[in-house]
Amino acid sequence: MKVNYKRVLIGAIFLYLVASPVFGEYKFPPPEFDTNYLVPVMRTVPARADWLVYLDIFILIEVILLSAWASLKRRSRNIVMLISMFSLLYFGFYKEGCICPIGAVQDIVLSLTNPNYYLPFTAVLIFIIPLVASLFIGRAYCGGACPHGALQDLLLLKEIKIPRWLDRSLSMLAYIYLGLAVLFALTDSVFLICKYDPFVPIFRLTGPFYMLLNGGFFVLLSLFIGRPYCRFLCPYGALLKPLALVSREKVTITPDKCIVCKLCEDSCPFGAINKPDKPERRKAKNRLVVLGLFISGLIAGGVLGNYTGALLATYNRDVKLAVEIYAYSEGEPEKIILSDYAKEYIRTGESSLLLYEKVAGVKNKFKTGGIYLGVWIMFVMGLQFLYAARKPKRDIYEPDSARCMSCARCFRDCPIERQEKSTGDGSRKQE
Amino acid sequence: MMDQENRNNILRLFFKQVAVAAAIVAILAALTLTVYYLSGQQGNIQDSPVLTALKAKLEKYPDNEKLLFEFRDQDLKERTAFFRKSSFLDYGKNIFIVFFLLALAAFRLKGVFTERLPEVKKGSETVYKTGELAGANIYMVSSGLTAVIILGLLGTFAIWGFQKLPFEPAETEIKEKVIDLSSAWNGFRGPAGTGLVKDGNYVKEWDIKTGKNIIWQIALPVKSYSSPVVYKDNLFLTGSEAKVLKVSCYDAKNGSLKWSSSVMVPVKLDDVEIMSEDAGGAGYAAPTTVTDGELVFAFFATDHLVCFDYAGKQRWVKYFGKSENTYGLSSSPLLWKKNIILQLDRGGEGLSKLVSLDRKTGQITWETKRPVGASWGTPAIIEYKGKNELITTGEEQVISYDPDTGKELWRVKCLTGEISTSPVYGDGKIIAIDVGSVSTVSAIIPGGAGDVTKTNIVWSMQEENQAINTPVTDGKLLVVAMNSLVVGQDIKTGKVLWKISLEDDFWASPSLVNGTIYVPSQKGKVYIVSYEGKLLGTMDMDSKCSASPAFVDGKIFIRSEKNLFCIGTR
Ligand code: SF4
Repeated sequence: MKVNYKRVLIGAIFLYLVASPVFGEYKFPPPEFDTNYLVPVMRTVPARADWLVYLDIFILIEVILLSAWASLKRRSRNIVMLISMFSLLYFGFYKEGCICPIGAVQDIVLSLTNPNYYLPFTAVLIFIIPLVASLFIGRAYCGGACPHGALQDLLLLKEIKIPRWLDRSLSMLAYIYLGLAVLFALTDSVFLICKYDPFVPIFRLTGPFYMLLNGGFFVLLSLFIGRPYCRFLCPYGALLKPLALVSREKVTITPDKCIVCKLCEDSCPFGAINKPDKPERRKAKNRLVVLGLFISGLIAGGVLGNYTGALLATYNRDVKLAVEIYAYSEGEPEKIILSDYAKEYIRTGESSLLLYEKVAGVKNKFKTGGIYLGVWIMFVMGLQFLYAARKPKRDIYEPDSARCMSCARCFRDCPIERQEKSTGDGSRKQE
Repeated sequence: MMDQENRNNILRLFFKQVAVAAAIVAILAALTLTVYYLSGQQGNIQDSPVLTALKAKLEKYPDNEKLLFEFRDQDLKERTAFFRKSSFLDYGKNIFIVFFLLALAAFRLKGVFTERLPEVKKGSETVYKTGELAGANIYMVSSGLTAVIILGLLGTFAIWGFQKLPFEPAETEIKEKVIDLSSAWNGFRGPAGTGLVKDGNYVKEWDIKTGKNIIWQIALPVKSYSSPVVYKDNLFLTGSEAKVLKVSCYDAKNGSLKWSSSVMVPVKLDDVEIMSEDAGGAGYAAPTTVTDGELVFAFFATDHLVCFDYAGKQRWVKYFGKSENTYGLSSSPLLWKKNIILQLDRGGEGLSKLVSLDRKTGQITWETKRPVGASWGTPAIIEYKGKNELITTGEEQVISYDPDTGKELWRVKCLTGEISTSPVYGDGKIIAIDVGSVSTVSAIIPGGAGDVTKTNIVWSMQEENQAINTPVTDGKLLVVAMNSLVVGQDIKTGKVLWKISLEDDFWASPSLVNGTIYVPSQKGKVYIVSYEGKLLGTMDMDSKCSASPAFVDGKIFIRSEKNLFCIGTR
């Protein structure tokens, strides 16, 4: 029954995804004749009241602390789960996933280069709070407060294990994505993270077709892989990882001494549990060679990044517009169908020469940004390589602080934990 | 203990039931949606074949009322159906998502109350597999591989990035081409804005009825007062129709339409109200275009200056804000070095100004406020003592400016009434005419600074007829076409040399072509007058001629209210 039940749910999702294209945006022209119908005036939604915004921040802090308490002190998966369901409802469905720390990185970066971009203080807080928290209590934000994570947790029905080596390689994607998002935000091109957020259209119950498609894809993945977005793509997770590594409080699988019973080995859906290991001592590599390789990697990254930047520039909307306008002004007018955006541009009356000039500047920005992007990617790559080469001696099972999302799942599998819970304070709920 | 177990069992069962029930609803919703979707019922009226067919029919028979109503009915039907469908789908989607999440949540909660013992599961090796791969640590291999893949991708993207944008900034720097405009009629009253033609053979006789000396003739779709402008084979005209501003280019050889482009502007033209030609206003398109041989510039009474290229593509538009001049505007843009100069005398506090814009980009190079109300004349650029001056006529005064900077040089108060005449220059004198029931013709010498009314007027004379157009002079003879009178004067002294009385009125300006004067009239005639003041002939046109003709390469281009004529010998 249990297995069937899961299958049924998975089937439902598949069925639903088949039908999901119907929710692609429809736009069609108003009637071509006068009607009595009054086209409604476009209204802008008023901004969320100040006190509500601060309430949101208060709730965020509370939820992070609660989640940390539940995973570190109370050690209860059930409480963490309830908290995360609350976050899913509140930050996800009620607040429609915006503003969230994941996307806030872009606001912050854009406000650095564009003084006209208004960055609310609350956005900074939302960005900073989980980061600071992770320095003290690990990734409690991911465990309980992130609606994205909560949704993926809820969806995980039939787990497929991913080997570690693949997990480690795929998690590089998050750093590349972060670099790209920063570059696109810095150049005022697009908020990549928001545009391709897979879960926001689900929180909002609507969205453009490509977003729904993307959402559908991640929903499918989440059915079989534990938190695929968090592990492999989330740019905010990429920032939290190194901080969590040096966090003061860390999740331990067992409340007491690990007896290496192997029972928890498989309990983490995110492959975050490190196994005891006694590596044989290997002879030290020539450090100079490693350093040399590392530096040449960075240089190669910079050079290639420079030209990659030029390619990325073509995704900037002004560059796209300029290419279209150029084709229009060089080609035969009858044969070219202008996009609405291009038509609007012509309507503004600005000369294309000014656009080309602006776009040349944009391209240069991208090329310079591309250098940093390339260096960044190779830098992270190098670290990952060095990290892989490192083989620490380990005697017990323990969570990898960077990867552990404080979900408290593994505790239940620890016999010591179970024993403590059942013989301990009688008022405690049985886990 | 027993109690707790019981409670847990009950809760587990409860959540299980909830989960099953919610899952059933979710699946039903998903099924319905899928069936609905696969049945192709997601209609979009944009692709409706019925509507498309009806529309095509309607375009053929636009006056068929029955068809029209059929179209409307069908349109309404399809829209209603569409919205019904979409709200159905919307409900379905919400039901699915809510119940699916409920099922998942209940499923998880059921798990909370399910006792489950830890076990060493199968498959854990998958995660921890650290097997040696060809003697190397698998992590090292995979990291190395990842690095190679990423470097490879970077390299590929870099190669793509090599390809340049189609417009590199260096290439878009417009090389200043020197274009010879001397043989063109590239703006209002010719290249120098004088209406003076010194060479070429132009016929003095034609007949639109028999077609004698008519090279071609085409009907114009819209009425407007702007004059034709010709460069090589391109003849430009402006017009407006139902608040659509148009610039059209005809083939000067045969009159065929090369293109006709609507101006795309950032404001709603519905908000602009200009008196039409029929209501006694100047309409939307009275100013004449000007071209530099590559681009053509048109100004409209909606206060838009627009630049088109020779393929009919709009290059830029400049909007000067709404004016208070409901008669419309008629001042034509002027070419000056790299710029376009425009006299915007628009009435209203502080609205009148002179602006100079970069030809290629439409960016303002200078702007000077003018202390005048509305006026309709086109400025002229003259050369005096090696210096260029931009001469303007306007309410009460003639003001001279430096055409490079827009700085005012001097002014003379000699005008009254609503000034529609433009200044002309000859024999070192600027001729300005005011507009009233009496016309005062004033000859002014340029130079000086500030108000030079007392010192610079050389002569002035009055005639009891109204002149609203611009005179023409060759530096000796000055010809003024007024209401029912054409006068020839000595420009040196203002002495009247001859007068011809005609039962007619003249809005278009006269031209002096190799010593012969051409005067188009409001009664639809063109009077041909000799240098000595003899009426050589009266050519009948089909309708009013309010636009000044263009003289190029032995051909005369005349725009009447309804037609455009190319006159000359083949
Ligand atoms: S708490 Fe345990 S199960 Fe959860 S992420 Fe951390 S290591 Fe994995």
